[in-house]
Amino acid sequence: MSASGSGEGVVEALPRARGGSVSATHSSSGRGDGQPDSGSVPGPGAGARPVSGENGGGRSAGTGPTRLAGFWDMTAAERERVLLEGVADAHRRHFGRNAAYRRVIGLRGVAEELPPGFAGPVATGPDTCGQPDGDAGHAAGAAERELFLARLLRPAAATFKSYIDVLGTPFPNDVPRAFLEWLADQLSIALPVERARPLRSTYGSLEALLRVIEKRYRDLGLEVLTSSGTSGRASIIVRDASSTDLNVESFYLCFQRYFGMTADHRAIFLMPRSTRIAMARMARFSVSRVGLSDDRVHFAIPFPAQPDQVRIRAGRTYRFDRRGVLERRLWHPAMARLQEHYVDPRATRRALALLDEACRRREKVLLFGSLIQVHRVAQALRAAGRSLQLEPGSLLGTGGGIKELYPHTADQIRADVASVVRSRGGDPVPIRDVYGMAEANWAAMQCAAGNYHVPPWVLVGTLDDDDAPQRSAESTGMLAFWDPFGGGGLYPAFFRSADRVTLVRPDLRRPAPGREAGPAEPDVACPCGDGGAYIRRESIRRVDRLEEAGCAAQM
Amino acid sequence: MNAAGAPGGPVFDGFWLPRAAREQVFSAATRWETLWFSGGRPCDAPASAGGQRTGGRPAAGGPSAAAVGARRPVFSHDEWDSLLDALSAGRRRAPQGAELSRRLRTALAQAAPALGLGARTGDGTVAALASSTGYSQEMIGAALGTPDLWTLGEMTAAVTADPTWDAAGQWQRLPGLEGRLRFYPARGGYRGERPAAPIFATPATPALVAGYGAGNVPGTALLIVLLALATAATGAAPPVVVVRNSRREPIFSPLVLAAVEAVDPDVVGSVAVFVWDYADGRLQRWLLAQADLVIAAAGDDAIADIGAQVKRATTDRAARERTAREVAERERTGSGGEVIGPGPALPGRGGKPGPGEARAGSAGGWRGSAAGQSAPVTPRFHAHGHKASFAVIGREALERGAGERLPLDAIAFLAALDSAVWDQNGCLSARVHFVEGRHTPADGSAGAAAPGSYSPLEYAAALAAQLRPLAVAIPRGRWPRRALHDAFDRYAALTGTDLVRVLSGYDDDFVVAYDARPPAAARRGRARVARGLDALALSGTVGACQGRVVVVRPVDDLLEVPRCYLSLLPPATLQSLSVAVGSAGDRGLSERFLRFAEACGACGVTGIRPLGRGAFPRLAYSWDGFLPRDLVSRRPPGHFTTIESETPYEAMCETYRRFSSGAGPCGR
Repeated sequence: MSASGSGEGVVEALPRARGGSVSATHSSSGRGDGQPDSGSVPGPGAGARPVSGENGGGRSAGTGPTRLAGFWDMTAAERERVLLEGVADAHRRHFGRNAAYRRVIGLRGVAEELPPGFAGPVATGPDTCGQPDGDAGHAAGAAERELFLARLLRPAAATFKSYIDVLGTPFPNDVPRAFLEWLADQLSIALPVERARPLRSTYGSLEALLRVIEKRYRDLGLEVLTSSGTSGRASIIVRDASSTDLNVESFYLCFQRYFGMTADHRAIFLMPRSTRIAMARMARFSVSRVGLSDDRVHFAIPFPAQPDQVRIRAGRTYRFDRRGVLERRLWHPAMARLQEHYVDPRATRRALALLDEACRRREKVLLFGSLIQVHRVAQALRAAGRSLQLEPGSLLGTGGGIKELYPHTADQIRADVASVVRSRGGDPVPIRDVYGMAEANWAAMQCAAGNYHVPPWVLVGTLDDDDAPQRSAESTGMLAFWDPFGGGGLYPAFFRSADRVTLVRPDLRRPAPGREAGPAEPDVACPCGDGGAYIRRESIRRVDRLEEAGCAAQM
Repeated sequence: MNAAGAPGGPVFDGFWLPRAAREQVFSAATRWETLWFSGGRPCDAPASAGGQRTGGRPAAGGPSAAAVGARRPVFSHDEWDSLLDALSAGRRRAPQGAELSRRLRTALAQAAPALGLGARTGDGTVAALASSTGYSQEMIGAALGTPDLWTLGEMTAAVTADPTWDAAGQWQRLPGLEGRLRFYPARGGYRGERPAAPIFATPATPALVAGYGAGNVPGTALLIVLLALATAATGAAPPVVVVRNSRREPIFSPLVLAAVEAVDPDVVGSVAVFVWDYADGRLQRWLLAQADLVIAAAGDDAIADIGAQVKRATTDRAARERTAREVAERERTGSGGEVIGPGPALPGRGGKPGPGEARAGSAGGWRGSAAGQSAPVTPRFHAHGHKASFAVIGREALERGAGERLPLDAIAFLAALDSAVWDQNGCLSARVHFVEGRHTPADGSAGAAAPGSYSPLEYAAALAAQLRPLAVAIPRGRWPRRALHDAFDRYAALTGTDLVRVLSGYDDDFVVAYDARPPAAARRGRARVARGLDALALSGTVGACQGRVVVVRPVDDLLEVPRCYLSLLPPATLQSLSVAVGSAGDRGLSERFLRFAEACGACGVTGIRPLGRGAFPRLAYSWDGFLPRDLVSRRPPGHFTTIESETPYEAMCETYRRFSSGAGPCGR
């Protein structure tokens, strides 16, 4: 089913099983009427079941194989073809329905229909590809495909922060109706804007407005999330029930695969239970999906983190009226002090208490937070002259990078943590990082070798400084991704991130001089043994400022 | 060309010292470092250069087009000492007053063609500048081959000009110069002085000028040198000038100075330009404690650092001068005994005084030769941080009609130049173009305008049409296209309303966006909130306009520009306006224009010049609020705004003729 008003969800866009037809996309349902194919498409492997919100979403759905997981079983050629078909299909579907997408992509000269052969076969390896190397038509097709793929990308943060430009204010709660119109413009579903009529002319906070919107459109299952908002201006992202389910599943599968999470862990999140920050919320949903009961999931920060609180605490964007004066002079310093002297210590104490309890009960633990938060726990242990011995299979998860001034590097933090947190057998407890962004419905999780593995149901690449796709097995550039399923019926999740990374795609053949395809390069595969694309460890760098060139002011 | 071949590519002198100084200071022990560039970015030494970045003089060998090197000396403290001695000697040999100005002008005029900077491509010098800065060779040729850069004829009049307090109340004509000036005293700077009283104190030529240039726009260091030498217009000897050159562009200024020296060595005998580490606190304190004038054209962070160093140096200087007075007094009274000043001793010199320390105030050292004038205790600090500039197109410039009027294409071409030169990386580059005229909903490719005049949307379309061939004639430098794409996408996302249009294509090497959305202040009641929102939006717009991104905004009236836009930005970030105003046959500036200029000056704008000349400022006029007279005199705090032409329309016509002729740098 699809919870979206467009009548289309992600179910019909997911691939069929290996061995069967791999061309199944939503259009293969044959309905052609824009309505969802309510029949379940068999997933890969035995026992596969559909992914959708029909059963109440993944949040309470227990474990079991799903069709996303089937991507791991596909050959590289199958996978690429399915993804490209998914991209073409999602583009076609959203181009006709998503005004914001159509405006930007259309002005770039891209039409609703991508060129014929867009999703045709590519050279990915001698075992899978039926095309002879160097075939001229094939090369031209690949080049054209890359051109179009790059043209489908929108800048992630700018897209979801475009409300600031459109509304002329970073405070949507001051212009609720205009915000709703912006929201409708961004989505591929028909958002009945007439429901905005009863909206008040202003709301006291962004949280209040978002709650009202979620309530008004409860039938669509809309959920409004934000980025972490450290810049003071948060990305605002909407998900519906089906895209939330898919997102949760994406996280959950990766938690299982790379973190080895099972239902016998005790999950301790160094974050508030109530937050709209997308990454935090998805991590929470995903561990629930693993099968942890509520009494095994804990949140160490006992206060909600509402968007306005996050904004004020970031200290970069204040309101322009008297409230802004209060925010700047009173609330920001007060919140900083409160955070430093009360919230953080309390969260650390609470986490320590939960960790101690898990140790006593000999339960496996997942402690998840930012590097700095995990470091605080380690520092508290060290200050008390203590160390922890966790059950084997326990894991420390981190995410979000270091976004504030902090006197320790990531390596120092890991070393500090390793010195006081060990497993009962004496081995260090693995510390694994998660790379993700609010705008993406997936996350890349660090494997034992330290690399970040991109889920195989997402097509990834890097762009050079001129936004041209780089087609080599290992490339450094701006991370771009085409997630044909992640945006669900709401928007095409084709985005260029603001992160420069070194991406390794072992499946990709490096073009030899004068030829489109060259010998495969199996040597670049991750030592952890997991195939597919990955981001090299310590290669992620945020690039969101222009390099200073002349004497022109940057404002 | 002062390039030496090296195995990895040509190595240029990334420094300039007068011949006498080179002979005196350099020795076999002098340490050298070579900075390598490729595509406008620092790079590692090419492998064929042995991977060496430091040490020895550059070796000979075949050049490579891939990378260009710039060698620079890394002076020891003794060498610094020796350098200042040599420059002081050069100062004594230099011509003084008007003679220096005349000979410098002559030497520059003779040297400029020898540099071959007007050449489009291929010349070794131009190619090297392109490789080190990242700008296209065509850009280097077009911008630096412009004779206006070398115009120094007005400097004597500018340095000796003596504006009165009358300029605080109305526009004042500049004696010996075209145009007008206004003075905007800082809060508390105006104390009811008589209108006829001079603003400036008695002039005193500085004995030592320390300069700091930054960025990759060529010539900043040269600009500082020329300004510093212009101080001799008061009749004194030129100062010793030591300029810390930009690491991002170390080649151009040394090239020009070497060419000048080849014509007339004495006029640049007191000048040194090279790269040193301005984070070296001790060196900086020592140098700045001796400077009478510090000119820094750099980023805001660097400006703040240098400003703090100047303050510390002031303390040292005061103590040093106290000590010098005590020494003189003892010598006079015969009490004898050598006293070393309390200034910062450079490390590694043991008990020996730091360079210049014993000279401070003494008769035999270079400080004693400062034309017999005592310098002020506190060095004056002229800070030129990063700024933003704009273009303003008056209604009369958009009138349709034949005859003597400049056609719309010509206006758009001049405006395109103002935004394209230096790829909008210069503080003088026009970012937002304000166009006087009403927004008219688009029908077809351009908005319909009132009969008789072109609409702002038509102007935007014409601008895009002019930027397109300009992108071929003067290609963009090696900057990521991503920034252009981001700007394109940003405005494409706003095209849901007919108030916003994107006039360029995704693959164009520029972006022209038309944005007629009214400011929040015009839509919302609460003035403070609306202004806050407008300021936020305008800052974002201005910040995005780099790399040839132009946003065209219609305004109903010229005065909207200062009232609704410029006043929203921090005054310290504003620099200049290039304006298209007036009509053929105008005599002088209209009252309407002067009111507009006055309001812009009050917002912080310091230079107003004719359209097309935005990137080619004249040294004789206000640079970030400082007049050339500021180089030699103190005055109450505040800023000067100058209008650089009395007949802007004629100036536009003249610029258009120059740039659009077949022989012009744009080759139209």
